[in-house]
Amino acid sequence: MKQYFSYFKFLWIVLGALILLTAGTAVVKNAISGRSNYHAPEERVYDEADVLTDGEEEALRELIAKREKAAGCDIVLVTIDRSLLTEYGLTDTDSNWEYCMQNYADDFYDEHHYGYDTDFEGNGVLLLDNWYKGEEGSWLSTSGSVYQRFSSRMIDDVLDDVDEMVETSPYKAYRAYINDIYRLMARSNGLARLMNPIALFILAAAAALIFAAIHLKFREGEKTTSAETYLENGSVRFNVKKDTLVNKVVTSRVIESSSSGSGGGSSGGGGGHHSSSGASHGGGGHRR
Amino acid sequence: MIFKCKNCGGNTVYDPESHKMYCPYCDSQDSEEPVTEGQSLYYCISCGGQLQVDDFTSAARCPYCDNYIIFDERVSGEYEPHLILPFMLGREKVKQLMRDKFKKCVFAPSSFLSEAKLDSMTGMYVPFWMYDYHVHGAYDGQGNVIRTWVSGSREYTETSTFHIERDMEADFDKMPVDASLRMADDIMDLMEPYDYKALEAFKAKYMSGFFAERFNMPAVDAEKRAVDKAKIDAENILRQSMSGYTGLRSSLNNQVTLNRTDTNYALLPVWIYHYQYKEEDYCFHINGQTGKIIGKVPVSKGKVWGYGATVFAALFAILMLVRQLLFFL
Repeated sequence: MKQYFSYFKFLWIVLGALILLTAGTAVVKNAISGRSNYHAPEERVYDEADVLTDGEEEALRELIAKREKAAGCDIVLVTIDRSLLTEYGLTDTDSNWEYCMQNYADDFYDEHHYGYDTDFEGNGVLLLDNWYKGEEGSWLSTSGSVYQRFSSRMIDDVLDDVDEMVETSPYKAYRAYINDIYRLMARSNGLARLMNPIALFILAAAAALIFAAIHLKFREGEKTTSAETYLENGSVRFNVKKDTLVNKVVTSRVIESSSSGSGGGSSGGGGGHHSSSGASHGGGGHRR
Repeated sequence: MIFKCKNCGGNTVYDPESHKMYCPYCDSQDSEEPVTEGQSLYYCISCGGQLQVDDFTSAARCPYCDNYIIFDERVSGEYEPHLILPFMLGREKVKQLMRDKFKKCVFAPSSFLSEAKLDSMTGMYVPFWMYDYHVHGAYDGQGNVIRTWVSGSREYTETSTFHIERDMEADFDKMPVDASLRMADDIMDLMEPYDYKALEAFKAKYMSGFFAERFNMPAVDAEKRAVDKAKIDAENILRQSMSGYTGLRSSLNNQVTLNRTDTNYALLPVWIYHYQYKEEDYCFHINGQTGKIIGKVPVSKGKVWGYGATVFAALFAILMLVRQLLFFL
C-alpha cells in the first residue's frame, strides 16, 4: 500500500494542487464576477404582446437569472405588438423595418441601464420580438462583451433558433434564445469547448492502457552487437568499389496549391453601430 | 583439482574485483596451491563425499563441504580451453547491478531483489567456440539516387541510375557460439559482446569459486550458427558501402563466401540467477565481464491493472479539473 501511494506521488500532488486551484478560482470568480451594475431594473421579461402565460414568464425569469450568472451578461426579452414605423413616423416597411427595430431595441436597453458590469455599454443582450401584423420579426441587440464576441453569423444563428419555433411556441423559442446566449458566452474558451467529457474519458482510458501495456510487455534484453563487433580492426578492404552513372531521368509535376482564402468572420462585433444615447451596440434582425 | 591455501589449508577462490586468488578463511592473497591427489569424478577431493556430476560439468561445488572442485580430466587434453575470460564482476557487484536495473519495477514480487534470493546466484564459465573467418563479398547490380527540388510551382524529381560494383575482403576475429546445450542459444547471443582484450591463456585457477562446463559438442557441430552470423555481418558491411541508393537490384547471387582461418575454445563468464514466481521459472543471465543483464522480470498482472485503473481515474479527474479551470478563465 505504501509502495502504491509513493509510486503515484506525482499524480497525487498534481491532483491535489488542481483541486485547490479549481476551488480557489471558483471562490474568487464568484466574489469578483458578481453583478456590479445596480441601476438596471430587476425585470428581464417584458411580454407586452402577451404571447406568454404568466407561468411561462416566470419560468423564463428563473432561467434568465440562472443563465446570466454563468454567462456574465444581462439577458433581456421584449415582446411588442405595435407598429414601430408609425411611432417613428415612417412608411416604407421594407426599407425602414431594420432601422426601427434596431433603434427601439438599443434605446430600450440603454434607457433601462442594462449591463451586467456597468450601466453604459455594459455586458448584455436584448431580444426584441414584434408581433404586429406586417412588421413581425425579431431583433437581437448586443452590447459590451456580447457585442465583442458575437459575429453577424452568431447573431443569425440565435435568430434562426428563435424563428424556428416562435410561431408554434413562443415560450420554447425564447428559451432557446436564453440558452443560446448562455452556450455562446459561457463556453467562451475554445480549448475548454474541445475538452468534452467523452473525449477526456477516452484520453484517460488510452493513457491507462498504454501504461498497462508498457508494464505488461516483458523485455528480455537487447542485441548490443553490430556488424562490426567481430571485425578485425581495419581489415575491410575494397578491391573494387565502382559506381558508374548509367542513366538519368528528370520528371516534374505541378504542385497543387493548398492555400485557402481568409476564413469566415467569426471574430465578433457583428452589426456594429451607435444608438441614440451614443452607446455602441451590435445586432441583427430577421423579419417573419 | 582443488586450490588450497598454503597458509591455512582452506579453499582459495578467484576474486574478480582484485583479479587475485583469495582465501576467505585467513584473508591471504595469492596463497593458492593446486592439489590433485585423489582426483575423481565421483568423490569430493576434499571431503570424500559422493558427487553426482553430469556429463559436461568441469567445475562445481561440493554439496557437503562447499569447496570448489575442478575436474582435471575435463579441462585437460582435448578439453583444455585455449582461452579464458576471467570473471570481472563479483557477486556483490552483480547484486547491485540487478538492484539498480530493476528497482523501478514496482510490479515485480518483493522477494525478487531480496538479499537472500540474490545470494543464490551462481557464476558459471560457459564453453564457447570462437571462429576466425576471412570473408570475401562481391556485389554487382544497379541502384538509384533520387533528388527532388521545387522550382516555381513545379516539383522536379531526378532519378540517377548507377551500376554498382563491389569486391570486398574482411577478417572476422573470434565469432563466438556457445558450446553448451544447457544454455539457450538466443540468450547467449544476447550476452554478447564480450571485450576480448581481457581474454587470457587458460588457467584453471580462475575457475576456483565458480561452476563450469566443458564444450558439449565439437567445433564442427557448432559452427553453422557462427557462419550464419558472419555472413549476416559481412552482408551488412557490404550494404553499408551502398547506403544512399534506393531500389537496389543485384545481378549476382551468393554474394559472401567465408574461409575459416582459426578456431578457439574459450570459457566466458556468466552469472545466473534463478527465481521462481507462481510456479514459473524466471532465469536471469548477467555477463560476468560487462554486467549486461538478460531476463524477463516476473510481473503481477493484477497489480499492473490495478495501477492502470488508478492512472485512468486520476488522469480523468485531472483533465476534468483542468477543463473546469478553463471555463473559469
